[in-house]
Amino acid sequence: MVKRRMVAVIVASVLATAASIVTGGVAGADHKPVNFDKLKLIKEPASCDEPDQGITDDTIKVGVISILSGPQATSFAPSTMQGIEARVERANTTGELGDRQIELLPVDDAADPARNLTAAQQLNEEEQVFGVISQTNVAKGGAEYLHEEGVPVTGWHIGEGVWGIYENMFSWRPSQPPDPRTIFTLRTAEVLKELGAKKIAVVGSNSESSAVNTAQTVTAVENTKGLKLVYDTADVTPEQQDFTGIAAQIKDSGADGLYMAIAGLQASGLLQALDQAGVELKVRVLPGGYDDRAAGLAGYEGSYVGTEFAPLEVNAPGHQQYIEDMEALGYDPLRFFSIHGYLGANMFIEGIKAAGVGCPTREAFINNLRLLEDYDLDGFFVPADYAKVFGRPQLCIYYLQIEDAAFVPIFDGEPFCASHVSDDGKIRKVKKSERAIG
Amino acid sequence: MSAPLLTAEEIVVRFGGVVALDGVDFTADARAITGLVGPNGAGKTTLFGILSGLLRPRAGRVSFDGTDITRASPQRRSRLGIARTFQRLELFGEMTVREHLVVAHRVRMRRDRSLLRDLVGLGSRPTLDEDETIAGILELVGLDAVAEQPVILLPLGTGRIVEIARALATAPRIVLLDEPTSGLDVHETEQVASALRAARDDRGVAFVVVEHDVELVLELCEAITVLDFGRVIARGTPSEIRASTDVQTAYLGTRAAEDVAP
Amino acid sequence: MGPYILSGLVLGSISAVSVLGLVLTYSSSRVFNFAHGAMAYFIAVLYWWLTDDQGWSVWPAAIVSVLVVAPLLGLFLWAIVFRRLTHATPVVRFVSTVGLWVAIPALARIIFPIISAGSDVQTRGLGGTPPGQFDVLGVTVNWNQATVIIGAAAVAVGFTILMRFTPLGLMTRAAVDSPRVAAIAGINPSAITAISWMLGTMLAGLAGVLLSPLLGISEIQFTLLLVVSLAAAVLGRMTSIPLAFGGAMAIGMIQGLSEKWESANLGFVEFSLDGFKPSVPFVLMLIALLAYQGLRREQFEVDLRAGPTEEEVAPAARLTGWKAAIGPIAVALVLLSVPIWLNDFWIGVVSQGVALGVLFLTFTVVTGEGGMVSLAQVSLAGIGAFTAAKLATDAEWPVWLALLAGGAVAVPIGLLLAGLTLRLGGLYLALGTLAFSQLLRFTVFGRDDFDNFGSGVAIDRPEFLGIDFSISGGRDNFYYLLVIVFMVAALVVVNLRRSTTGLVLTAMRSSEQAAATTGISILRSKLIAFGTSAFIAGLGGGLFAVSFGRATNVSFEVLVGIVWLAIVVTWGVRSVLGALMAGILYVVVSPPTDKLSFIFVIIVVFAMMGETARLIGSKAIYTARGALLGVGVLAVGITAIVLLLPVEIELSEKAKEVPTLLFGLGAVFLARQPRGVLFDVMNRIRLRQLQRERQLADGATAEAAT
Repeated sequence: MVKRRMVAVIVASVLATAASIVTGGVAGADHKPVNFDKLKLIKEPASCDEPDQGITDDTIKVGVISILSGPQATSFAPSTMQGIEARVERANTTGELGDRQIELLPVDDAADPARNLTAAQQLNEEEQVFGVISQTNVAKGGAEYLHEEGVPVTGWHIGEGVWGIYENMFSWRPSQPPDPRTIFTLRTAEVLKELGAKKIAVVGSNSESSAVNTAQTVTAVENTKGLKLVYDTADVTPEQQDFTGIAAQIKDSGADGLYMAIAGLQASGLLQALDQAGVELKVRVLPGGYDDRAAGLAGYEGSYVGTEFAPLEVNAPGHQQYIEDMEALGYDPLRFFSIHGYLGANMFIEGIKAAGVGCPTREAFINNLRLLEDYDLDGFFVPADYAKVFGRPQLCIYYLQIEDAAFVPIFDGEPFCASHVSDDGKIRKVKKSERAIG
Repeated sequence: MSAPLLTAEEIVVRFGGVVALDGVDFTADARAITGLVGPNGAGKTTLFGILSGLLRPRAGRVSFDGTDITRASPQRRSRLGIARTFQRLELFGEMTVREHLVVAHRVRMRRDRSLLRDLVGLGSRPTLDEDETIAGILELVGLDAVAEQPVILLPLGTGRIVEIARALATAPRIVLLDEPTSGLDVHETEQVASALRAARDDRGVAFVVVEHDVELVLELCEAITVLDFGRVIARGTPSEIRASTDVQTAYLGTRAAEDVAP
Repeated sequence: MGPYILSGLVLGSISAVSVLGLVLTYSSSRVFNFAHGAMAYFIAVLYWWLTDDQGWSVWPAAIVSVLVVAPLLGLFLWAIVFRRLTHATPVVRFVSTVGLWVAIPALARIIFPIISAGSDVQTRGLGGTPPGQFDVLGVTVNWNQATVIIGAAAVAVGFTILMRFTPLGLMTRAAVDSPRVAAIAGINPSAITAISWMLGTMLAGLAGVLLSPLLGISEIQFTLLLVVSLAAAVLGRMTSIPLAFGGAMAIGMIQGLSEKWESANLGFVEFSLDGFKPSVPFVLMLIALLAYQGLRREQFEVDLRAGPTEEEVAPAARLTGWKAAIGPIAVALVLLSVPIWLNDFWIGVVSQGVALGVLFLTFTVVTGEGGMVSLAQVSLAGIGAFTAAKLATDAEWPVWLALLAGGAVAVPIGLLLAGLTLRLGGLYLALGTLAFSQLLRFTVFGRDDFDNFGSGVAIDRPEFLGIDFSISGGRDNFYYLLVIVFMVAALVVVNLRRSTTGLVLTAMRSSEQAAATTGISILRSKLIAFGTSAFIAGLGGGLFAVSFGRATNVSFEVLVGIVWLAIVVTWGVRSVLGALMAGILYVVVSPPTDKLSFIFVIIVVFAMMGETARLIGSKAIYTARGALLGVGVLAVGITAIVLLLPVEIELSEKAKEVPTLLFGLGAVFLARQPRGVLFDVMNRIRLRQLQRERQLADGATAEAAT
């Protein structure tokens, strides 16, 4: 009797599994593109008798969701909060927001999408915040919830598709396609070619942003004339520090250019292993790493790093203001995550100003900030048009080389822009209209 | 004389280079209590292991009522009607005395087969037959007073009898007992002995008793086998064994040690 | 070829040093130290602090850390924890060492300021910074790598000399082989065990100091170290030091060499060994466990059963008839009334807890009824969750059907697991299930369309009868749904427990040998236990995923599963209420960002520890009533103080580690309260009742006799 029942259970389970395999596909974003053509400025209400939640006569409560614990916390914290605090401090002390001051409420999501949702709920329902600054790579956990609740969110996209799907989310660099695996530029390969490499090795880790980045670069290299892909891996684990094997494989492959979608001590470990193995690489590129603690790390000398913002070495007014704000609080300005935090917080303040400092409402914030055009925070980054670049990949990145443990901008301090994109599997040239909006 | 029920023929067991049993024959008759004794290291435990299925012999056969069970598993032996007890009590934790008998009985009656019915809360009612059988066993061995007690609270002697009762609940034809009176005082030993006699007389169950207490064995058993150094040195009725010089020689050196009670 | 061998040698050497300590402590005390990696972490953090923060040079720092502090740490832990565990049941030993695994790193982060170090931390190696390099047979080796390899060799030689040629070694081997005989010979087995733990901790510390310059100091790294040591220990049959050492080297070499052949192109077929390298330890572990189980279990595992005390195994408070329904009905009423007195946010949180409670019933069945420590339940839950999510989202099945299908899919995997681990028991079963679970993780869960690079698979709320269950409008309804599901599941579990099958499982759990001779099929019983618990795990996993909208890998990590089991055991693994409490508390007690959560955590942890009475100091208070009173007083006191203080508790980074530390300690003190808090309290009541009855009965008999 039991045997028969067991067989029945097994058959049913196998059928179910088979069904799932047959009908299952890649879970992709199923969202209609948002149309901003009809947006008009919303004027602020005459009086503020019934303000939105999180707004009182003298305070605006703003939640911050970031990665404050766990293995990735060493990158995100404490730099991220420092950047946010620096920008908010200036807004509060100079009366930038009228009579009100921003009160920050940081919550940890530990890089777990489930915790991100809980954090979003906690901030919106328990703490009753007006809006959220999000500096995490699992914003997808709470994104739908925050969208449904109409909560304004600013921050940095870190490659997550939700920033290009939900119109209540504003990354300071607003370009972000809904699905980065299907729409991306070939810039990472083009810059390698520009710097003189021919045979490319690509190394990434199995975290989401890194794996996506690796996959994009592999496709880019394969579709760029003059480049050959000789080695690639996306198997590095976040805790791996021993790269003897990978270094040996790169040596065997004969690569002269390397793209690493890993950062910090891991990148240093790989670079040192490459040195130890005697690998001669003309070009080594990291997408991140713009951090004065990194410049001095063993193996980094001579490598290239990329930044989405104009590096501090450009010294535009926006940069000077940033340095001043950071130093006022005793924080080290030359930190990748601090800059992103600062820019994300800046975006939130712009949103409040766009909604009207007299009586900001959530609806006005989300609506009016979207109408922001040609905005570059006094030279801090390539000017952005928040309506037009929504859902588009970012074309231009600044590059620097590490010389004598310092960052030196290359390409005359101008950003390097992609000339080709991969659009849903098709490779095409970047259109003039796209180049105009950046 | 009753017929042989459980027999072992030409059993050879080796552990590494040591020969534990060297061509041993053993017989236990139906409806009888058979004793298995011998000095320390004689091979009693090993032979017990062969009979109970814990060990497989290098050579030789074990049969039960004509069926070869040399390689049969403990579950198979149970189904055929061989039960056993353990020297270090192997009772079932927090279950009560009655529950021990219930589970043994139900497994025997194959009432443990209905998982789905059990999950929805049906099918675990005791049947009349079960109640009667269990009540009968409890009364037979004198456990009816403590039937609802968790066994963990019972003294050692009572625990031994619970093991015997549990064995009886599987409706066995023969029960193998591994040093059932070790650690017991005189009173408890007598309780165990009565239980065995009652089961034999009332239900015709046979027993094989491995023991250190030679006096008890001489009093209790109809037939006794004596081992020494892995061989059978004597076999027969209690009076034959008592008179055997071979047995006296084997035990002479260890007699003094046995006199020192723990 | 050369660099791969080097890489393998390095990895192998570190784990060889570590496993030496693990096997030594296991041999001498039969306690398997799941906190071994955590102890290595502590010493590594100390080493970092001495060199980086205090500016010491590397050799003095290493010597102090490994030769002074490490043995003291080992001695301390032996005195307060390990000494007591030798005679505890496997479950208690497991949970206590897991508690230490959680508590020790939290303690390290509280004592040493490593959190504020900010970026990734790497210590300075003994080979210089940056380490010099030299050539060996055409391969460039740096001095840190060389130090590791030389260190391992030195340890191997030194240890062999110690064990074979010194009196201490001889005494240790004697004590390990037969404590009783050793005691007669005048050797104090207790002292030997203490020394073994000191040596074992030194070896762990050495592994940590050697490891951190090469691989960094992160908890994950040290968990990996533990995991490979586990596998190597199993290869060494848990007690053979040479075999374990060799096993560790072998695992390292295979992992190192496997990098060369990660993706091979055989001309006509291209395959990639993704996930092979991390799977290596578990594949070997599973093979070893299955191969070794051919040996007689007596030889393979010495089960020190000193017999549980009366207090430890007191009978369940058994009420019959209508009285039995009072407790469950009261609980049900409290549960159903929750939406009345909690706001929306907290209802959402408690809902997650109830979903987790359903999941935790899997432990109630497989560990509570079946007596088996299974570390694979979390993976079964994950299978259920991902299956349900894929069916509901991609194949557009109705969610409730997808959830049931998730449970069903987990069943054959649970049955497979039962078959594989049939002859394993106690620790080996735990390790076998752990290996199985990790293999699932790297093969099945690693698939791109499940993992989605970390974002997992979304799953919506169920829809039927037109009721709104969504986050925005239907949180109440979803909560009630979950409570109903839990009550049904709990009812099924209780039915199981009280049925014939339940009796059979209890028999198997108490004594497999006796159960077998009573005619019980051990295979069938284990299949039932694993099969039923797998369904519950799969269904619970799906519900858990629904409660926050997606199934992700990170929710069902194997290590999370270990902590889950520890929490459930602490609350009472044989009680359905214990499963529910464990689930709700696990979710509610997240790192606190405000006063109230912090207070709540402290209260709960003290209750878990059950040590309130001891803290108050009086023996008379050590009764059920007294413990509850003590907890109540403490709770009121702390709440009053904190609420009345006009100060906002700014929780520093260090303070956030305290709840983790307390949880760990709570699990550790389980050694004194092995049945879990709830059960313990109920049983003390019952026990005293029984004792009183017996006294009366004895008194009556005595009177009658006179």
